[in-house]
Amino acid sequence: MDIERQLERALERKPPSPEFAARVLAAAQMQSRRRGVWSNWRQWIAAPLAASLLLLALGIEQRKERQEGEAAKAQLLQALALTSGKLEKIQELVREVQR
Amino acid sequence: MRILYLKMSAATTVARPVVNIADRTIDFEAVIRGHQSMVFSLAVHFLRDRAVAEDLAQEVFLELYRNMDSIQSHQHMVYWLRKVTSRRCIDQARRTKVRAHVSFEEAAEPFIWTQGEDPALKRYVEQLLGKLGETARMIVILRYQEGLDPMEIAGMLDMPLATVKSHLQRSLASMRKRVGEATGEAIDDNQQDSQHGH
Repeated sequence: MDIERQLERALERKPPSPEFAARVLAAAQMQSRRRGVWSNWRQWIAAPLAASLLLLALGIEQRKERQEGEAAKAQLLQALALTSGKLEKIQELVREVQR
Repeated sequence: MRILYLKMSAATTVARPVVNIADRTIDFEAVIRGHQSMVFSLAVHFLRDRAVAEDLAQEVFLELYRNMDSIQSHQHMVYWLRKVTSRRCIDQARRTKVRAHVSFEEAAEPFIWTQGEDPALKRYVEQLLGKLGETARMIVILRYQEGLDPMEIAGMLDMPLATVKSHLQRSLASMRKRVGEATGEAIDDNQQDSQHGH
């Protein structure tokens, strides 16, 4: 008894049911569709999210610039006030000399 | 290699999946049709249940579809399919305990042997195969369905070559003994020895 030959006979390849390939293909297409929907969904979420982040960054930048401008304005006013005080003192001195 | 998608003809339809193997675009249906017998046969010979085997084969092809990026050639794809099918079969059998463990000694007497009654012998051999342990059964199937040598089987199942050879020898010896008993043929020791080289 050649058991190896018997095994080869018993283990000959068999085809699956005739609709097998179509079924697998349909499942693969569904997988692609799900992947596509997921990809589109991510696109729909990603675009507004990116725009929001951009606006937020711009807002932060503008606020920072406004704060810097206000600080510069305050410094300028302070400098003008100091200059004005010194000018008054000089004028007083000039007036005393003229008397 | 990468998975490509054909242009969609309508908003509601999905194009036929195609894959790119070694710079050649191939319809995925051709891949399935070209290898469905191999994958299904591995599963059905191992699990001995057509419906379960078809489900498993479908899962294997879907996994292939998801992993096409990693496939480098046609030979690689065949190797990948055999490997994944083998592993899934063994996992499935262990998970669901498809095979109630019955030793050869406990196995029911198979058939009334008459000379030349090949289909009955074939069924008996299939029955004996189903009684083997998961690893031994897959080794025998890879050896005699796919014609792989023990070295290739060892690589596929990630196990030492000596273990594969040992499983093969023990499985063949047990099956030969049982078939010999059933058919009333004497066991040919010379024949046994000659098969150790596989």
